[in-house]
Amino acid sequence: MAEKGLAGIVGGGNVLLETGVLDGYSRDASFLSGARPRCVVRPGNATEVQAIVKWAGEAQTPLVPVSSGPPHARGDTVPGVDGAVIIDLSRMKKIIRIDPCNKVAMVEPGVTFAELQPALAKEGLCAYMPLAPRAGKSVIGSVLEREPVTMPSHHWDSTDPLLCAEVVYGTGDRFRTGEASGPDTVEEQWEMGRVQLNPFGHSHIDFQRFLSGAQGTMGIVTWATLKCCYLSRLTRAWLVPSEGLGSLIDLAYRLLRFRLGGKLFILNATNLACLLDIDAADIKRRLAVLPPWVLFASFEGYGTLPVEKAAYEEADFLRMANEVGLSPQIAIPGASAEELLPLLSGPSPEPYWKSRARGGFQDIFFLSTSDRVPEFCTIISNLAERNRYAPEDIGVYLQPIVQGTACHCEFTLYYHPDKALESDATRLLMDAACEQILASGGFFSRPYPAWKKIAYRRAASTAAIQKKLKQIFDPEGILNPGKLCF
Amino acid sequence: MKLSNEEYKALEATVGPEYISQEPVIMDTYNQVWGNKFFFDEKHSVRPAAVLLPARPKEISEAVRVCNRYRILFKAFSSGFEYLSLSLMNSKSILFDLRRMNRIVEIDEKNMRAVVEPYVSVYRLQMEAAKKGLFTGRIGVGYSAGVIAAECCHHGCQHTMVFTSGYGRNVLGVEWVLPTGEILNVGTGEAGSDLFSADGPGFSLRGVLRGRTGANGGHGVITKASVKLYPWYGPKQWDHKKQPGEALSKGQLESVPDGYKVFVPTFQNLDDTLSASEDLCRAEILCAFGIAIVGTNPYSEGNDEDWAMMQKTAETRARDIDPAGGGVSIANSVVCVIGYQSPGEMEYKEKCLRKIAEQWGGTFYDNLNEPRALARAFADIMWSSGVNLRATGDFLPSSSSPDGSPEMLKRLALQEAEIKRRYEQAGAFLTLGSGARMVSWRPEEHLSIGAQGISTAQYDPYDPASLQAARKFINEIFDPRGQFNRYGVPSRGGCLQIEPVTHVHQNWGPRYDNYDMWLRKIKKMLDPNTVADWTAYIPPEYPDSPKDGDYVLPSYGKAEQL
Ligand SMILES: Cc1cc2nc3c(=O)[nH]c(=O)nc-3n(C[C@H](O)[C@H](O)[C@H](O)COP(=O)(O)OP(=O)(O)OC[C@H]3O[C@@H](n4cnc5c(N)ncnc54)[C@H](O)[C@@H]3O)c2cc1C
Repeated sequence: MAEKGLAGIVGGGNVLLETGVLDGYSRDASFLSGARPRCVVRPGNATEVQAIVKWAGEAQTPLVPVSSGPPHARGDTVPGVDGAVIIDLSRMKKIIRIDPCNKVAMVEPGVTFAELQPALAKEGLCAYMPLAPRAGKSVIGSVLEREPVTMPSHHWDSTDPLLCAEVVYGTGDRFRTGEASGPDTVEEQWEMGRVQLNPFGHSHIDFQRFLSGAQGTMGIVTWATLKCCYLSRLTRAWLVPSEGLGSLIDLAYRLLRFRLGGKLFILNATNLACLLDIDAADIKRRLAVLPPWVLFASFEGYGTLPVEKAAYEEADFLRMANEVGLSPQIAIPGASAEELLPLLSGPSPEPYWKSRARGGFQDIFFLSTSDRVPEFCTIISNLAERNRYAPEDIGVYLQPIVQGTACHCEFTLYYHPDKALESDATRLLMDAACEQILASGGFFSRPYPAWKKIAYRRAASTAAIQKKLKQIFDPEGILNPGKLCF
Repeated sequence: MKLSNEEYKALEATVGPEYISQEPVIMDTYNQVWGNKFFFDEKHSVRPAAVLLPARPKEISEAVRVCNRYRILFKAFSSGFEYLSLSLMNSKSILFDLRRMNRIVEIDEKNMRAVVEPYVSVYRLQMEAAKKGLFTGRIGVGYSAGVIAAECCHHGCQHTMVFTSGYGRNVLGVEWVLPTGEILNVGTGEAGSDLFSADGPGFSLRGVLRGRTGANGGHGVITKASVKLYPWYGPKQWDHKKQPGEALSKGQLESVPDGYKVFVPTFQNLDDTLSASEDLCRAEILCAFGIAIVGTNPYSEGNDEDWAMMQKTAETRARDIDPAGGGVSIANSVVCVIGYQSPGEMEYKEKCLRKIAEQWGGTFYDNLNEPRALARAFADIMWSSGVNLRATGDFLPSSSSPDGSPEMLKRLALQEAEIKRRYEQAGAFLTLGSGARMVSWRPEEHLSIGAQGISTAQYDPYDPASLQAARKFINEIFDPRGQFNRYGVPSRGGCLQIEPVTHVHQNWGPRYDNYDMWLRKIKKMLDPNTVADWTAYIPPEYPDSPKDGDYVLPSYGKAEQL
């Protein structure tokens, strides 16, 4: 019956009922078990999305918005309740507009980084990239999830690079955030120089902030405009090896203080090996020679004097590194900057880099300030030992964000999913780590199902207001129920 | 309206008898702000029933609960320079004067943030942050503007936004007394950590805190905020020469501080000026930038002095500003500030700037580029002397002032200038030169999120003809049926006007995706008893129905008397 209503909106071919498909959506690579959806519906445009939301409101049917292709890993796209319909936006694949002058791209939710990057490159631009996302990752999905980007100097606000968006709220209303709202179609706006660039408002509310970090609970985004960067005409890339983390963090602080550099992040040996090698045996071999910690920094040449720009930034970087007793290298034992660089401008080659070492992985991530990161590393390492998980098997990715005012700390627990003991140890370590991170002042800004209860334990007032806001924008509670605090 | 004894006593119990007053003579020092004549047709806005000087969030919270109990409106302000801070819907209202909450709680040098209370001014934070090599963006109004007022509550845009961003983009934490009296800490604050992120868990309540403009007191009181800081390349202290007792704006720098350089190129025509401006801003080399706001003249001491100077220089200014006059066209001059932490950075940025200037035919005229003039330009653009009101006593900040691409802002500014010229020619507004095509915008984040368009009209509130013209001008621009209805909802300097005076939300909401409907629901959710004064936010319901077609005509005066 429901399926008939949906077929009337999107056409029968875009309502999927096959058991295999539905099973695929009822779980993901996380340890969580979810509910089986009743069907998958694949709209092709915003009008269809709006019709589906209205239908769901009337039918009191939960909708789970999904933009990225499989495999999913964080539990946010697995239905939290029975009888949900997956609204799969991957057919909405248009790159609607690229404006090279204002460095802005307008895309639909099905567009992946692999599709966007070449289109941007043609216009002399590139996307704000997260670290080697999986191939099927939707750009809008990544941006809405506040996935950290690898260029912290250019990351002014936590919502970057999100500018404006068109959204269908749970009420079925269609709304455009920021500069994009108004009496005209977007095409008419372009004619008068309005390019959906400015994210503020409208008026006293920053509507786009209700969509970012919402896991699809506040509205379904049908297009968004995104800030882009200039494509570098020449890039100078460096690796800074270190036995300890402290001096690398110091160096990152120095660079970010003056907003120097393009890409900048820190990896431990485990993660670096996983990124660079496809084969598990090669990863092991490489691990044996890599230094424990590596900071990656690139200096991008673009604009009026590209050579001079990259050169002065690089010279200042080398001086700063020297001041903290570090020696940047173009190649270190086991890795070179040249090898790493191409991996940073697009999605991860298949298989996804985190699946290579052992097939399975679980991420734990949270925010802290960079100076406190070594404490968290010690905490996780100690917990790993206590939980019979080898600390050296943990991948660490540290990404300064918002121009260095905070740091995204990501710990990846690699494991063989088919080995019960390993799975159990991973699960136990994850639970213990989340508890300990919260107790030590780590902040779970993105409360995925694995740690959402922990995250909200210290956010009672925030949750109370979020629930009231949810009531306004999605009064029937049809959008992805069971996520966040809903 | 006087409060009843019971109401007064209940409020008094929250702050103590020394920190509350209802003396008319004192109350009348809390209702005189520039702009009153324009909006309320009087020198005084609504007189508050009482003023409280709380010292702690808990006191505010308790007082707000009293307001809920007795249905008393409340509003907070910091330095009170903005006319909205003292506008009240009715006289059964109290004001929170936050001057006792004046601590810079923390400056975290490494993580580049400051935690401040509401009465910390932008300039005070700038001075303290400089000691640690950090900086916060200036506000055009001048030295005394509150950090929290700018970042969280009102507008917060300025000429350093090219580098320091603005509006609400720098907020990393907020402690907030909601209109119900509950105290909300957003983000890491509630989790008990340092205030380094105001987002989450989940979606961010910064979306409710403010949008393009703040709530202007319409949704509670911000008692503490953490704001992101930016590098300060200059010395830890500077000598801003002034005699004791003189206004700070009188202070002069001898030269541009080390760590900075200032350049004022002038271009041949408007198109070249704007093209060069775009290139300069996108080159990611600037710390501050202003088009046609040259600020290189010595400051005058007060309104009359400024007026006299304007009169004296009117002729040369008209010539200077008008390319057809053959002089140096200030309309086509731009102020560029670069900062550097190394000789290499300085060389690169200067070379890049000069090359772009050269590409667009820029000239560095001596009178605009001599050391004292550059030092004045630096002080004005980095710290702000707030001289905008001097000549006439009042001004209309950017009549429609949206943010967007330079192309859109240029079209809008030129259209708006045509209208303004009519009023200038009629002698109602101060004229800045005949025939000048002038466009000015303030770039945000190296222009990566656009810019804010600015234009001002200076009128004399105590000249009836000038005042009437100012209102006519605003009505013309704010008429949603008019030629500006596609550029964005007009906002007179960041607020969306004082309701019910011009009914901006009512007129423009339906044209702008019904944003007002969501806003009203949010206001209702936060403030079920409607006790946070909404005169510069959104009314619980629209007071009038459309009188003229689908447009609610504006009216000026105090709501109680209208
Ligand atoms: C000549 C002139 C030039 C100006 N130029 C600029 C400019 O370039 N950029 C710009 O952004 N603005 C500008 N303004 C507008 C405004 O005055 C400033 O933005 C400034 O922030 C005012 O600071 P304040 O401390 O005096 O704020 P106030 O007048 O005290 O308050 C401003 C608003 O915020 C609310 N508020 C203040 N503190 C709190 C609090 N703690 N909790 C809740 N609400 C609070 C008040 O109710 C009021 O509505 C200008 C004004 C003038 C007169």
